[in-house]
Amino acid sequence: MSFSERAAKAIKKPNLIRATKSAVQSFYWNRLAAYAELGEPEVADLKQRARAAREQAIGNLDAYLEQFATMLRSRGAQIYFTKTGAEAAQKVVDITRATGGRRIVKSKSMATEELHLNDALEAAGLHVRETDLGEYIIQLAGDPPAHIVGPAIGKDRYEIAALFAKEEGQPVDHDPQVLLQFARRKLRQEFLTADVGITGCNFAVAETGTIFLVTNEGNANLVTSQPRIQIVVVGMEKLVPTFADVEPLLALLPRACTGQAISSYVGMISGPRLPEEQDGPEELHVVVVDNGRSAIRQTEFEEALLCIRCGSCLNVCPVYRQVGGAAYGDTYSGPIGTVLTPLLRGLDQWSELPHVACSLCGACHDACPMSIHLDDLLLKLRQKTDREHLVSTGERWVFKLWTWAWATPGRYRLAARIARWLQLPFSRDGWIGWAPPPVKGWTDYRDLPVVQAETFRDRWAKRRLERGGRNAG
Amino acid sequence: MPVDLVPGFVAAWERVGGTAHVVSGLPEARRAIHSIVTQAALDTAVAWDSPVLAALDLPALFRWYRTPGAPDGPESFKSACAQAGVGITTAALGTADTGSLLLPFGGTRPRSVLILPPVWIAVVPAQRLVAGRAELFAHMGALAKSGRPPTEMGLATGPSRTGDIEGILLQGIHGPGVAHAIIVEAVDVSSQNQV
Repeated sequence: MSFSERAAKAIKKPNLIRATKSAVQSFYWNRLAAYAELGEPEVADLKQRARAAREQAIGNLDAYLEQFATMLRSRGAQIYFTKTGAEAAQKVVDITRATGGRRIVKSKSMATEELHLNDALEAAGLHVRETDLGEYIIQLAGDPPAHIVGPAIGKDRYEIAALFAKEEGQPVDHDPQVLLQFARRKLRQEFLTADVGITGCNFAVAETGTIFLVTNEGNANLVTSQPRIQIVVVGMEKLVPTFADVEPLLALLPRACTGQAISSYVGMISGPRLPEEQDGPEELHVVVVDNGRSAIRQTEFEEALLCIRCGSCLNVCPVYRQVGGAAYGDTYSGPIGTVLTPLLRGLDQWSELPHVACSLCGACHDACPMSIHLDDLLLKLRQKTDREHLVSTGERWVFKLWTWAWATPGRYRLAARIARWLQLPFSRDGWIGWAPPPVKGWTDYRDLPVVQAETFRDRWAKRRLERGGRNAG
Repeated sequence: MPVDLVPGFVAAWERVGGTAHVVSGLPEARRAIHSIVTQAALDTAVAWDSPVLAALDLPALFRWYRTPGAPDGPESFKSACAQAGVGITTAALGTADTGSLLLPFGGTRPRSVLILPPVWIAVVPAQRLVAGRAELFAHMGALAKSGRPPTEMGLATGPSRTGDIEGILLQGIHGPGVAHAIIVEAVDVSSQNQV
């Protein structure tokens, strides 16, 4: 299914679109309020320092990954570098099996969504439970995340109650407090009986070998304290050079996500538990995931690796607001998904996204705490699509013709004349309501104003004559 | 004595749904805890093994009160945490800008005390409050860079919360739904530098 088809399906669900809009609008206003509280100079300083740290890391990734691994190994953790998503998922399965694990609890991680890790674990006969409330809801529904920060934002209390009722085998009231207590009770059992805990990683500090985990629910604290084994899945771009570098990043992330000054829980893990400790994992395994990231480095798209997954660009995107996350068809949605999905999964399969899921308004760049030029990256993807001949022959000819016609004033005049003649059968009262392809793509959704009988150029020439050539030149 | 930091911490902590109590000394801190647990009818507790908490004589306030020092092994302490009504910790540091408490977990300071019981009480000497991020990161960075960093450090800011049901802010999804910070203005000097 294409983006256009998925989007067409999504906009027929008014509840989904209403819920999505209301959620992202509150994320948006909360971010602005949180930034305003800090004041513009401080926000600018944080953004500048955060971006510099991330650029430094991405520019020297191999060295920092090595340092990160060495630090963690020195404290007894085991590190694995994996190339593809399938390899990373298999590694997690292998670790789980080798340690005799059967029951797994997970805290929220976009990287594991990207690897389709749950499918791999379930295929291996393992029990895996998402524990972030939003992730739990979409796991029960079998959906991909609708938003980077709020994976279940398209679902209302009635849908959630129905999913819980199905899970429980009896009705569950739709009162939010009841739903909360239901999830707490069910997931608490999972935490206490799991032998493996899987987390993602928000920031990985090379200097100290520290894994940062940021949550509001505290589920990561349970995942890292109760099970015997902990597996951390970390995208290789999550590195930062020094511990101090996390300061501006941690100040920006929750503010950009939800407008909070800080998330309720921040975990900083530096190794497996020591013999004298009462809880925490006996074994700590860290799986570093490439899955297409290396191929983005040192290309015109490298900036996309600076992303810290705050979801700000989704919240401001006029396309995302209209169609929601499911329309994007993969793990990441909104502007960052439009850039990342083709880069990680292959432009040949995903060239439609940068072409149709963006109006180039640039709101995403303004919203991004890392100041990633998402709109430029989208344009570059369009150019690459063209260079690699991934667009249809028809579309390429239309744009070739277009380019030719606009290249000189004479051709432009000629084109306008031809257009006036071509539009005759379709014009009604100054508007075109229907036209054959390639104009049909436009007129299916809105009317097109006709090319006027008297153009600006005609009027300008006439004026010049009337004024006796006074303004000539 | 950083008195001006106390109101900042209290405001930030309460803004995220926590309850703050500012008390003048350890006996007052004990009274505050007594009144919290009496009102909420809580009679079981797990706690960190810490000099500040030891000075409060808390076991007498509960039907049972467990610290990790007890002889019967980790699993049974974890299961005590899963059953207890209250988890009591101290904090190495608190920030006035965001109302965050730094918890360096370790042998006498298990993670489960913070996260398993439905009610969390943190007893924090006022001397440990700092202004904000800069001081916090200096402190945490020093710990992370030390030869033997805590296997896990945590920052906790108020109760556990979620907005995943229609964006409605709800407390207590996984961790404690109730978070009390007891800021103690005068604490015996000998225990100041120990968590």
